[in-house]
Amino acid sequence: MASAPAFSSFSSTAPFSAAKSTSTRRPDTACFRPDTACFRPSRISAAYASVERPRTSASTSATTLYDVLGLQTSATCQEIKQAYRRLARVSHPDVASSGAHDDFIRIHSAYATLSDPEKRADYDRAVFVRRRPASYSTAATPVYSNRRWETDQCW
Amino acid sequence: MAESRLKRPVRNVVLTVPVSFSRFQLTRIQRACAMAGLHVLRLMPEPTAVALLYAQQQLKVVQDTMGSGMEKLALIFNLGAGYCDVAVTATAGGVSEIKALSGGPVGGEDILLNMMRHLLPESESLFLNHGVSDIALLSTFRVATQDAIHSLSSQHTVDVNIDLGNGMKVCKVVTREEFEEVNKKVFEKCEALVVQCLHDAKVDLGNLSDVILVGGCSNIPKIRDIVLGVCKKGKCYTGMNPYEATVCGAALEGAVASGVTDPCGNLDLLTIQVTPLSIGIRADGNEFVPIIFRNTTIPARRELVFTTTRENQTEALITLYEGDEDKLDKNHLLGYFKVGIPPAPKGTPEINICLDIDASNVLRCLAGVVLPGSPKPVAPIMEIVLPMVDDGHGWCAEALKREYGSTLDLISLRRKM
Repeated sequence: MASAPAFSSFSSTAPFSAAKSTSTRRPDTACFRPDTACFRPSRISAAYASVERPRTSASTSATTLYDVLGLQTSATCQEIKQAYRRLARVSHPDVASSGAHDDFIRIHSAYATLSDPEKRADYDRAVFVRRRPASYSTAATPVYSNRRWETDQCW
Repeated sequence: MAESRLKRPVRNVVLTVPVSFSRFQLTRIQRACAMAGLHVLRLMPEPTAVALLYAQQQLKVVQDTMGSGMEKLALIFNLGAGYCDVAVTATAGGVSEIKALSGGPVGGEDILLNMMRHLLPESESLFLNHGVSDIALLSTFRVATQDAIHSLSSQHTVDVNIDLGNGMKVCKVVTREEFEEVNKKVFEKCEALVVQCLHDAKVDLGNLSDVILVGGCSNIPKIRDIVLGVCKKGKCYTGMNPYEATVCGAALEGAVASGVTDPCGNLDLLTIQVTPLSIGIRADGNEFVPIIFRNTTIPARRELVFTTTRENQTEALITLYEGDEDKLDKNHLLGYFKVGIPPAPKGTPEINICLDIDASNVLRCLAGVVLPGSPKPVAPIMEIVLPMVDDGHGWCAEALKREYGSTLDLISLRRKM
C-alpha cells in the first residue's frame, strides 16, 4: 500500500495498525457487502477526511466516486450536494489556480453520478455487487485500479 | 462613458451576453473588446449574472445555509430588447449551480415592431424611401407606440393618438387583449423557452422557491402570467430591481473575478456555469452527433469513439458543429480537419474524439486514432482550438461533402460494455 503513509494522520481516528494488517486481504472476502456494517470502520476516517483533505482527495487518484467527494457510501443526497459545493469552492477553476480543470471535472462527474438516484444505484451495483470493474466503464476513474486501505479494510 | 463617470480608465470588463449567443458571437465580442483595449474577465450569460445576485441575497438571508445544506431553486427569466433568456439555478451558501439555460432571439423589439405594424399596417411601405423626414416620423411613431405598450402594462386600454404630420394620423383605442393577440407568437416562444429550461433542469416544480423576472419587458402582465403560470407560482421574487439585476450581478462577478474580498463574506460567491449549446460532429451518415450536450457543467470534457465506414479508409474528415437543431446544416459549423488512419478493415480503427471546454470557455478538440490491440495511438494526438472558421462557413462543409462524398465518413462506435 503505497499510499498508506499519506494517511498516517488518521491513525488517531482509525485503528491504523489493524487497517494495515488487513490491507493485504482481497476486498472480495466473504464479508464484503455494500451495507453499512462492513463500512463502519471507514466511517470515522471518511468523516475525518472530508474535513481534512478536500484538496488532496481530488488531486490524488481516488478509488471510488465516494472517495472523490470524500463521502461514505451511505451518504444522503443532501450530504452529496454539500460535499460537492464544498469541493467546488476549493477546486473550481475560477478559484483555484492551475491544474484545477481535471480535478473539477472529476468532482463533477462523481457528483453527477451520485446525485442522480438511478445512476447512483447503477454505480453501487457495478462496484459493490457485481464487482467486475473491468466491465464498468462510465465514470472518470477505473474502479479499484488503485486500492487504498480505506476501501480495503472490510473485515 | 463609464470611464468619464468613474474618472479613471477601465481596463477589465465583465460582459453579459444572451444565452443563445453562439461561439462566434462570443469570439467577436472578445475581439471587439481587444480592439478597444479592454481585457474581458468574463463573458457570462445574462441570467447567470442574475443568479449570482440572487445567490448573494440568499447568502445574506440565511448565513448558515452551508451548514444546513438547504438549496434554493430559482427560475430566472430575462426578457430584454432583443433576446429572451431563461435559467434555472440551485443556490446554497453562495455557490450557485446553473442547472439549465435556454434562450432565443425574441424580445421587446419584436413586440414593438408587431405593435407598430398593428397600428399602421402600411407603415413599412410608407417609410420606404428613407428620407430624413421619414426617419423622423418613424421615430415619433416608434416612441408613441412604445409609450402605448408601457401604459398597457398598467391599464387595460390605451388611446393611441399620433399625429404624423402631412395629413397622417393614427387614432385607435388598443386593448390589452389586442396587444396580446398581436404578440401571440412572441409570448408563445417565451413560454416554450421556460418549459424547455425547466425540463432540462429536471426540477420538480414544487421545489422551485423563487421565480425571478428581470429585463425591460418583465413588466408586461402577459409575460408575468405566462412565466408564473408555467412555474405554478402565485407571485414572483421582489428582492431585486428588474432593470438593474443583470448589471448588479455582473458587477459582483467582476469583484469576485478580480479577487476583491469582503471581510463579511458577502463576496464569497461561486457560479458553476453550463454550456448553452450542444457541440458535436457529423457522423452516422449526415447526422449531428452531440459529444458535449447542452447544459453540461463547465469545465467539461467528454469523448466519443467513432470508426471508419470503408475498408482501408486512410483518412477521416471530422466536422464540428455547435447547436441544438436535429438537422446538421441548421447548426453552426465550428471547424473541420482530417485525421490519418492506417489501412485496416472497416469498423476496426477507433477514432477517439474528445471535446474539452475549460473554465474560460475555450473549446478544444482532441482526436486520436487507436488500432485495437495496441494501447498507443498510431499518430500524435491532434489538438485544435475551436472555432477554426468564421461564422457562416457552413458552405465549406457543403463543399467538402460534395468533394468527398461519403468516403471520409465516420460512424459512432458503441462502447463495449
